[in-house]
Parts: sequence; structure tokens; C-alpha cells
Amino acid sequence: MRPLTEEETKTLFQKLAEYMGRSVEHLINRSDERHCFRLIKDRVYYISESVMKASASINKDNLLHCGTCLGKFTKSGKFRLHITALDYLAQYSKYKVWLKPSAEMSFLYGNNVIKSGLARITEATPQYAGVVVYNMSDIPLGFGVAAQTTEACKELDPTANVVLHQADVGEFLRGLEDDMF
Amino acid sequence: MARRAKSKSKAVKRQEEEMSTSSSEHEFVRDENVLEDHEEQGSNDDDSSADGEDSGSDEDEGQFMKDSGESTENASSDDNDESSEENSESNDEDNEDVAPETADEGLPLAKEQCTFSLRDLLSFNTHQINSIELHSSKKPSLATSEWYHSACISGSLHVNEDILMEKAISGTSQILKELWKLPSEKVEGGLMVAKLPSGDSGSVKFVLPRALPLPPQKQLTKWEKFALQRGISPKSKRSRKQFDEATGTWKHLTGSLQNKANAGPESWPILEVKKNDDPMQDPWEKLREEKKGRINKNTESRMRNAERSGLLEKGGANRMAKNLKKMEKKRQLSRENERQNGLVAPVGVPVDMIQSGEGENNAKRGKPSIQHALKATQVSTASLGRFDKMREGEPERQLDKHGKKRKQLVTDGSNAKKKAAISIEAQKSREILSKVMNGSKEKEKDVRKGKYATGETAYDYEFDDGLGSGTFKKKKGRAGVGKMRKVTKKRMK
Repeated sequence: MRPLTEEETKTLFQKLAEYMGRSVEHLINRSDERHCFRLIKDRVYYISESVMKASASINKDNLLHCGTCLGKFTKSGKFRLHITALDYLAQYSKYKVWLKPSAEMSFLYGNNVIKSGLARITEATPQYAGVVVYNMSDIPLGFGVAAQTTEACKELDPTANVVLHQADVGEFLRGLEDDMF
Repeated sequence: MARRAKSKSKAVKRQEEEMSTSSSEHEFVRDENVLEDHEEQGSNDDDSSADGEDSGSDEDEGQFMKDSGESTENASSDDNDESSEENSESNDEDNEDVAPETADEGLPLAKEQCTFSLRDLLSFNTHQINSIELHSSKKPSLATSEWYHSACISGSLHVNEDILMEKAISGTSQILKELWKLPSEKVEGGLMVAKLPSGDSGSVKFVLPRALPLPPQKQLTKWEKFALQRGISPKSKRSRKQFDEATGTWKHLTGSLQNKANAGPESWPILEVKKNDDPMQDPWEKLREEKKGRINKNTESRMRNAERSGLLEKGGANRMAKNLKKMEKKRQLSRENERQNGLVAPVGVPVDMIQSGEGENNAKRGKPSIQHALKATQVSTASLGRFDKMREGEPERQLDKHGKKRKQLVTDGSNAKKKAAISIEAQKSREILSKVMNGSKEKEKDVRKGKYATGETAYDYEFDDGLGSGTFKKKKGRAGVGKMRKVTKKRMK
């Protein structure tokens, strides 16, 4: 368990900024307890101070996870967000997308969202912006990347992709990665 | 009566005949029989008009003719190749009381003049369609004068076929009139044939608009302007081969010094030392340098001409000149270096271990240089020397001399220290965040270098396979050192 280097922090913040924008500082400056980022074997964990102190006393080989796993760094140095980060993304997300009930299941199985499944989308979403996908009852289902801007979405035909899938809540059951949790 | 019957049967026969011979595309056959019949039927009509009793039957006959004419029209209204057929029935129409001109004028609207392509036997009616009329179910009348009002009424699929038929009749009769105007000639077989216009004059020309803008006007170069002013005529063309005085053969004008015609002093094995020459200087070297100077001058002036005429961006010529000078300097330096190093290299030491520079202090001779080389080779393995066996008497390896800078986790120590460490960490991350959000200079540099993707997929990264223009050397080996590298647009800037 070690803190992140500068390069790594930069990469992490860039990725988070795609989804949250300026709200990343809410992650750093918290009102209740200070939280920090730690790396365990290429995975980034967002943990509170007390948890960090406690986990420091556990043997390195026996420590599996601590706190919330935001994602992991790939071998080439790029950062990949995991579904476990959804809580924080959904809290501070800038661009949101709401799905019709008919399209929910499709998204939860890992498919991209097509225009006919789109109920609402925030205005002025730039293309390829990070987007959090919600239910009609405002339950976060996952996140992805906006394939088109909001204006361009209106002129698409109903089978065109509007949100490219990146992670969804169904992954907990589908179990894509063996050592994720 | 008998005569009429005969003509009637003849007309039918003719029509059948024409139906079968409709395959002729380019020949517009004027059947002489047709002309004969024309006269005959004209006389028939006269007869019929005089004869009261036969008027009924004549009317029937007329009706029959008209019907048959119309039926043939229906069959071939779109097919211009069966023009001979139509000719016959237009003649039939002519025989009726309604002549072609009046047939057109019979329409409530004015006759729409078509344009023709006689070579292709086409008539184009390019007039605007009155869509209201087209979609209405009534016959057109002058009362509907609001033609140009609305566009097509959407949803009304009913099309008035009579309107279309009238337009088609008008079009075909017009083209037939035009065809009758063409000069005719007699062809073997005793047929009169109309000569269609050949070549592009008679056909429809498709003129496509320019896809790309016109190239810039060619500007005169500086020499050309001067030559115009002075009235100097341009150089006459040279022949490909020239007579070489030395060997007495015909040789090419360009090529290596061996195979060139009249190669000049560079190719001579012996050169005299003239009065003004420095006896220590290599005369061939001198000649080569002069030639290079001439070449550079030529390229520069070419670039300037190109700049003037707009083919090269402004300032390009100057940049090119600067670049060339830089390259030349580099080349000279590297040559000097090579010469020095060649003299100074101790035996057994790899060339890149020699520290180039002035004086003998830098060049490590003997033991120090070998030790230096040994240190380097100790770490020159894939694992950076960590798992290699040591030899007898080998000095200890200095692994990771500087070590990776890593801030140790402050887990022990006083509470104050820990708090301080954490707050420092928080502050640092805030700084990094501000850099990320507000765009640092380093980021812009990295973007320019190509470290950031241009798109969203992995394919959008510019992959550096190490074979770029930076590694391009014009000549192989030692000769390539410092020599002109590929001058790319980036380098020019």
C-alpha cells in the first residue's frame, strides 16, 4: 500500500474530471473526515484517514482491499474506472442520462444505449464526455461515454448509439473480472 | 370502297411491318411507302368528304385509324427508338383534320417548347409542372391560373394521366418535326435516311463544375522577367548525349564522374597548383565544396521563386536556407569530432565510452577508462545487472546508484508528524488537481508531442515506431553522420 506518485495522481484526476469536472476537489476537501488515495497492486483506493491508519497495521500480503476501489492502472499507465466508483461518480456527476424502463435491462447486460432507449439527457453534453446513466427513478445504473452531443442526439435515427457503455451495476452479478472484488 | 379497303389493309400491314422493324436505332427510315400513302389517303379523304353515303363508314375508318394511332402511341410513348412507327401514325394524324400544330394548340395551355438532342433522339421538356393540375382529377382549364403557387400537395397520390399523355404527345410530335427538318440522303436498298448530327454538336453535353479550385497563375521567375526585359531568347534544348573530348565517345551529360561527358577537373587524377592556390589544400575538396555552394545557391533561388509564385508558404525559403546552414555546421562539427576521436581512442574501449571534448584530460586512458567501461557493461543486461553472476575479482556492482525517489509512508512517529504528512499530501493533490483543471504548460507540451489521444479509441494515439523522420539518414554509416536529414514541415519550422 503506497500513496500515488504525481504522475499517477494526475492521470487519476484527469479521468475523474471527465465525469465530475471541478467537483473532484470535493473528494479531496471533505467536510467530515479527510480521505486519501492509496495504491495496492495497481488498484486505487479511496479511503478515509482512520481506515488508512488501521490498514497500515495489516501485513501487506494479507491485505486485499480497503475502502472504495475507484479503479486500476493498466500496465501502460492508463487509468481505468471500475463500477465500484459509481457512488462517487453519481454524487458529483456533471452530465447525466436517464433511461427508459425498456432500455434498462439492455444496458445492464452491457450493451450500449441506443437513441430509442434514451429518456432524458443533460443539456450541452460535449461529445465523448463522461456520463452517468440513471434509471427513471433516479437510481444510478452505471456510467459511460456520450457518443454524441445533446444537439446531435436529436437528429440521430433510433438505432444509433448515444451512450457507449463502460460499466454498469449488472457487472456485480456477471462477474467480468475475477479479482475485482 | 374497294380502294379504301385496300388502303386500309395497306395501312395495317405497314404498321405491322414497322412494328417488326423497330430495332433500327440510328437509322431513321423514311419509308417511301409512307409518302405514297400520304398522298393516297389525302385523296381518300377528298373522296370521302364528297361522298355523302360513305361518310359514316369513313368516320368509322377515321375512328379506327385514330384508335390504332393512339394505341401505338400508348405502346411506344416512352420508346423513341420506334420512331418510324410514330412517324407513320403522325402521318395518320396529319391525314386527319387535326394537324400536329393544331393538336398542340388544342391543349388549353400554351405549347411547351422542348429542347432536343437529335443525336441521341431525345426531347427534354424542362418546363415547370403545374402540380395542382397534375394531381387534380379534372381536365385542366385556363381558370386554374395559380400555377406557381404551392408545391406538390403531399399525400395526394392521384396523378392525372391525361396531362402526362398530352405532354408526351407534344414532346414526341415536336421531336418528329425536328427530325423531318434534318437533311436526308439515299442509302442502298432504296431507302431515304435522315442524317442525324454526329459528334458533340447534336448531343447533350454534361458540363461538370470544377471540383478543385483553379491552380494559381504561373508567375515568371526572376530570370524570366529579366530575359523578357532584355529580349534574351530561352535556351535551346540540349541533346541527351554529348561528345566527350577525353575518350572520344558520346556520353551522357549527367552521371558519375566516370561516365559523364566532359567531367571537368574533379575527375582528373592530377591537378596543377596555380599561383594563387594554397598548396596545402586538397584541390578536389575545394572543387567539391564549390560545387556544393553552387547547388545550395540554386536550391535557394528555386525556393525563392516558388515563394514568389505562391507555391511555397511565405518565409519558407529563408527557413530552408537557415536549416541548410545549420546542417552544414553540424556536419562539420561531427567530422571534426570523428577525426579527433579517431586519433585519441584507446584500444579496447567501446567508442561511445570516449568522452569527446578538447584536451587529453577528458579522454580516460588506461585503467580509469576500462573501469568506466566495466561499470557500464555491468548494468547492460535486461535485468540491469541484478541477477548476473559475479566474476572473480570483479568490483561490486553499483545497482541503482541514485535509486527511485519514493516518499516513504509515514506510519510511525508522533501524531503531529502523521497529521503533517497527511495534510501535505492533501495539499499536493490539490495542486495537481488545479494543474489538471487549468491546463498546465507541460500538458500543452505533451499534447504537441503526441502523448494525448486525438480521439477516444486506442487507434487515435500516434504510434511512434522509431522509424520517423528523425531517424532518417540520407547516407548509411559514418557518412550519414550530420548529413542532411529529411527536411519535414515540422523541421522547417
